[in-house]
Amino acid sequence: MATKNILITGYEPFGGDTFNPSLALAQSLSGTTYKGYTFQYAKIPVNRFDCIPTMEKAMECYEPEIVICTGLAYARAGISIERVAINTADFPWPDNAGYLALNETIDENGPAAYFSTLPIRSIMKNIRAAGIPAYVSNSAGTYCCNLLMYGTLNYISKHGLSVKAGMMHVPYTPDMVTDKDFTMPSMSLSNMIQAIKLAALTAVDTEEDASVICGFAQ
Amino acid sequence: MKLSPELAQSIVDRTKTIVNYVINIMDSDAVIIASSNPERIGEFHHGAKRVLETGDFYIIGETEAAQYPTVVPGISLPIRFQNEIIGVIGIGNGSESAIKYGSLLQFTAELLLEQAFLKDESIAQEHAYDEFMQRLLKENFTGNEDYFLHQAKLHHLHVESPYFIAVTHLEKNLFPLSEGSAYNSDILRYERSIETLQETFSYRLTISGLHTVFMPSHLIFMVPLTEKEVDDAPAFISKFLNNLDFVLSQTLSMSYCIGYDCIATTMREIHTVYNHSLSAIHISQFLGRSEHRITFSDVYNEYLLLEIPSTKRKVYYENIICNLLNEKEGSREQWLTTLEVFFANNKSLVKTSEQLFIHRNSLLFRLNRIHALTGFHPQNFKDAMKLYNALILWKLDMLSPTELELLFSPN
Repeated sequence: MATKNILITGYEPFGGDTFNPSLALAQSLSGTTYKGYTFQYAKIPVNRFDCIPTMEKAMECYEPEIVICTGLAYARAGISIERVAINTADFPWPDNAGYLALNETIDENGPAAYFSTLPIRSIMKNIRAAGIPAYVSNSAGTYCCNLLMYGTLNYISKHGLSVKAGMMHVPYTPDMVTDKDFTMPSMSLSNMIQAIKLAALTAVDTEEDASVICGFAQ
Repeated sequence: MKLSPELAQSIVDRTKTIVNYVINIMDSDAVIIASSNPERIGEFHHGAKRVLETGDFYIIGETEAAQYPTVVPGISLPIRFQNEIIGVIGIGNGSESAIKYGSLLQFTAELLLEQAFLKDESIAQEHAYDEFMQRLLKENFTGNEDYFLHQAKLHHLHVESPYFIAVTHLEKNLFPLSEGSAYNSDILRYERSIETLQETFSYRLTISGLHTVFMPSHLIFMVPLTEKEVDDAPAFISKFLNNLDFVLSQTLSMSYCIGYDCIATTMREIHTVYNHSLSAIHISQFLGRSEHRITFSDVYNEYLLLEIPSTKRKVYYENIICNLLNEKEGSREQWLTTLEVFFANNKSLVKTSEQLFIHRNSLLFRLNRIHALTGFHPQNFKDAMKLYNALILWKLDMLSPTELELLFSPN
């Protein structure tokens, strides 16, 4: 089957939650097709040592042309499109296996950081045009999302692949914040699905990233 | 096609959302079998009788309706399926608009009927496909070639294509039916779940022509190979198994193992390869191995041992390990376990002592003691072979005939 794949990854629930919108959106988009591309998904464990190997298996299985890793971000009000992943695992709390990584280097032989190879400005522009808040974030944190983004771009670089890849964070869904902290920002799952789908379609359609303002003064 | 009361009622329910009139459907005996007024079900319908006699619509006006106690004015129209009248649809209450809508409702009813027929056809085709695939795996092609070749072509299988078969043994049934479940809805849900799973594997494994067969506790994947893939079969098999393993681990929430054999070069070999793959799984389980992927060649030696008749088995193992078996309870288990773990760890002293939680010297003492008791030293290659075969034959002798059958011919 000569089909090109778009891989969307989502994380399993963590931190006591029983639901993770990043996984739900990835599963929901699975099977969607666009211009000869098929959306595939992978469930990534919130685990310091299994996270990257699972991603690598998914890369080998689907040989995707576009990879969008998604993860859940605490207290973010919009879709955040990550610009950069750093070679550091410095967890604020333990992973699902109870492991707490403290100032660890992800790959001793890897560069200090990788930039997203997704057209992040165009993605931001198109998601906003659909009425969904989105911005380019300059830090993917130092927990599993950064680990996964770094691991994915590192794999692509080391294997000399021509794959567009990056990470996008999504907020909590409204039902998740009701019992936590009702002042915390949230977004409906359907908006997240629409945003990630738009990001993937933008990556398919965009040769050169748009020139729009997305920086921060401080 | 027969118009069942269930189908007729679903047509009434759907059509009454279009217009708010009393709608009845009658069978070929002019008896109301579905109605928007359930109290009328079972009543004889005068308009339907006329439609069935003439083959044309019939309007009962207020004057005629007044002649019968239960009749209301309205229009009755034939429901045709493949040019045959199989029922009648009646619409009350005789006003002009009801008559105007009559043809529309008649058309809608016929469309719904056609849709139900196509759905039944499609389900029947799926059942026929599933049944054939199961027979292809479970039965021998020889002596039944005409049937298999004809069916294979009907189901778009390439008869001369080489196939790779991977049998996934699941820890438990994926979609257990509730006890004594005979309700259509349960069975439909069960079938849809299997269908969804098959579709999921089909597009997630992105392999053209992949066939997935579901059996309780087993999922079987049949992959046709191109000439190029056959030329580099080990690489193809390795990649396919890696991908299958990944997709299974992402899709199923239970443990599983994958059994496989060499490629079936034609469809005629599928049955043998399938049986070998199942044997690989069952023999591996019998040996207490924990491998996740088992190829038949890994258990071929044990498979051959199964062919030895029971009486000869006993003579063999008694000649080799009789003195171990005659040891007092406790010691006997210790010698046998030591041998088993030693062989499972490829005669590694370090790994065996670790697994047995004993010092290396204690392990050496045990191996020497086994030598003294049997005359065969486990560290010597030829002696080890004899001891291993004797151990397997002894274990096989402990099994019931049913358990033995499962290992040898698991189908």
